[in-house]
Amino acid sequence: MEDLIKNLKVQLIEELNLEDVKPQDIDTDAPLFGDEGLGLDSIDALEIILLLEKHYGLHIGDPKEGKKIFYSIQTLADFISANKK
Amino acid sequence: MENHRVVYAVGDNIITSLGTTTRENVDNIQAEKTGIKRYEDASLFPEPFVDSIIDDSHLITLPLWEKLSNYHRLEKLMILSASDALQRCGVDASSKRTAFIFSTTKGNIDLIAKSETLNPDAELANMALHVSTFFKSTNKPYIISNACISGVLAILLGQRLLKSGEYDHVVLIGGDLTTEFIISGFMSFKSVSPNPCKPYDKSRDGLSMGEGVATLILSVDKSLVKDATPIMVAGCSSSNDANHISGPSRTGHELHLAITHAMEEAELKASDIHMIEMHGTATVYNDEMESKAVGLTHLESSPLLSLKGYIGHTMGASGLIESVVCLEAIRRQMLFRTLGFSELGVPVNVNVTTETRPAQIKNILKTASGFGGCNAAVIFSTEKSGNKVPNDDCAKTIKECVIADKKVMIDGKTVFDGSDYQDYAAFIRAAFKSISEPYMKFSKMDDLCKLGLIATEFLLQGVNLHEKYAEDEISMLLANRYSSLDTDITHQHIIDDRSTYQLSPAVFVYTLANIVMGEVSIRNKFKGENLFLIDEKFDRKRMEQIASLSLSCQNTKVMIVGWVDFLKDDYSAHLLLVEKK
Repeated sequence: MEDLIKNLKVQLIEELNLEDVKPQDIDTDAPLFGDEGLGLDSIDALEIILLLEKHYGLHIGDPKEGKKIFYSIQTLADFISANKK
Repeated sequence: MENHRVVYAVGDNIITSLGTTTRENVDNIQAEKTGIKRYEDASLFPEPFVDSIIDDSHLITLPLWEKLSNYHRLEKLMILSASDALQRCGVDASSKRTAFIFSTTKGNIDLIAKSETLNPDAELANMALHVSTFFKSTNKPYIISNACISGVLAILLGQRLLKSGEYDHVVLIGGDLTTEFIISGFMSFKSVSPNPCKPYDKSRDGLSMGEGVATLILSVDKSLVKDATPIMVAGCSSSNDANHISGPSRTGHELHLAITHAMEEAELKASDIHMIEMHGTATVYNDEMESKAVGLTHLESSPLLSLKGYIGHTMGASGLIESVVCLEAIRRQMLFRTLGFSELGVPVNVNVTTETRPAQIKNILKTASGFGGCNAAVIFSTEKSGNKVPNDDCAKTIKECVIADKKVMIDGKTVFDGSDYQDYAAFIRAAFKSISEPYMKFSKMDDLCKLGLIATEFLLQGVNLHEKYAEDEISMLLANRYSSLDTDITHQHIIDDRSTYQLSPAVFVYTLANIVMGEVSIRNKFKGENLFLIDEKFDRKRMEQIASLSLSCQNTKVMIVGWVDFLKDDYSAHLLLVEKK
């Protein structure tokens, strides 16, 4: 799980072009979207869907489904470990 | 110059999947026929998709089509459309008193597919010149590329140029094609419905794409009017949400501002508006936002319609195509049904049309909203001519910022020298760090937006516009040569490689040049007017004139005006801070 969380942070920074953010800056439990935390937006959500497809082979058809899954790095990691084949 | 010049609609044409003339299109709309259908064409998209595409077999029999073999498809359609409109009204296209204004988002973007070198005809200025030269126009054309509000902005600019006395006639030509570029981009946004779109409906699930071309000719010469009751362009305005580059405002306040300013110019109150024709794309958030704007303007009882269910979303052409249909609604005194709509699914109780029926229509409000957070509104009226007298000589430049050759200059003095940085990316990052606190959005932007944002940061250093001006009094007018071609090429490379086909919404969203104004507006909370033009080079005199039009006839009090251009490593920015004399 720890490795997965570490990798996710690195992938997120790379895929979302978060140039000035370092993996250790991202709080595993903090919200990714909205005004707190990383402040990601709807375009980032679509990019995270692509990230899940590309790195983990997981498909989310409806962006609305992503809301709970994308809440934090922790919820993302939970989703991946529960669904990864 | 006369005190009060009245702007009349004198000629028009529409070419879409529903027909090649205004009449044919509107007859089909009146008969509630849709041009939207399912296509299977792997050259456009790997999977089946829904669209509204012009059938060229209806055009190739026209004598003019044969003569146009040297033109690209979009140019052919524009020439056919403008020829028809010009013939109907007798305006002299070659006169010094006639200007051409083009509206398009992507022009001949199909030319960059699978290409190593950049075909110069993919530049919007060359597309426009091909068409205006066909008509022997002697004036340099104006080209508007401002996402999905481009067509309405063409009317806005045309109306002001005519009222100011700059020209007597303007030929507005809008066009955009269905291309692999556009389909793949909207697909990456997951904003396309698998079925014909359902504007304002409870079960709406996205837009339908479409292609089309339209021409609208405006004139101050009343003798050219063919209609029994002349139709006038009575009010126009635009605004920016300053909220998000792809998602619309959550409140509708900014579209409401544009509508209010247009209605004030037209001297009309809510009860005078007999029909509202909105953008109505049938995406969840667009339609929601529009209903809120209608509510804020107390227009809930005015019949509201969207034409997207008939011809899809024709992007840079939509504002003009839909405006011409509005003119026809006045001529026919007919209200059209919103095809696809059955049960209201927006938060404000708006009056969406459910049947096509005769109605008394004297004043129509037409709006559009698009990526970059932009909104525009125009009023067509048989009663009012508009109370504003735009003036093209009231702009005063008070400060300048130039970025070129890794240097930033303010009023001619170098304030940041980045000669030591090896490339643009390093230079622009260092320039930003020198002037600003970390800003999360910056690293996500494309190079054009970074350039525009930084030029604005330097221009406004030590200036607090919000102290003196309200948010909606601060407007933007920018231009460049290469539009968003740098990012367009990135997106094209992604789709050219069908083996990977890693569509990226974060790339596609920057394939519109006006996004730079969106980013600047979000950062600085600028909610005033928006206009993005394409030109061969920075034409300072023309830009100051157009800025004057906004400063003199809408509530704009201060403007960021200038040039922001980026292609590969060829870049330059030249911004002016402009106030009223």
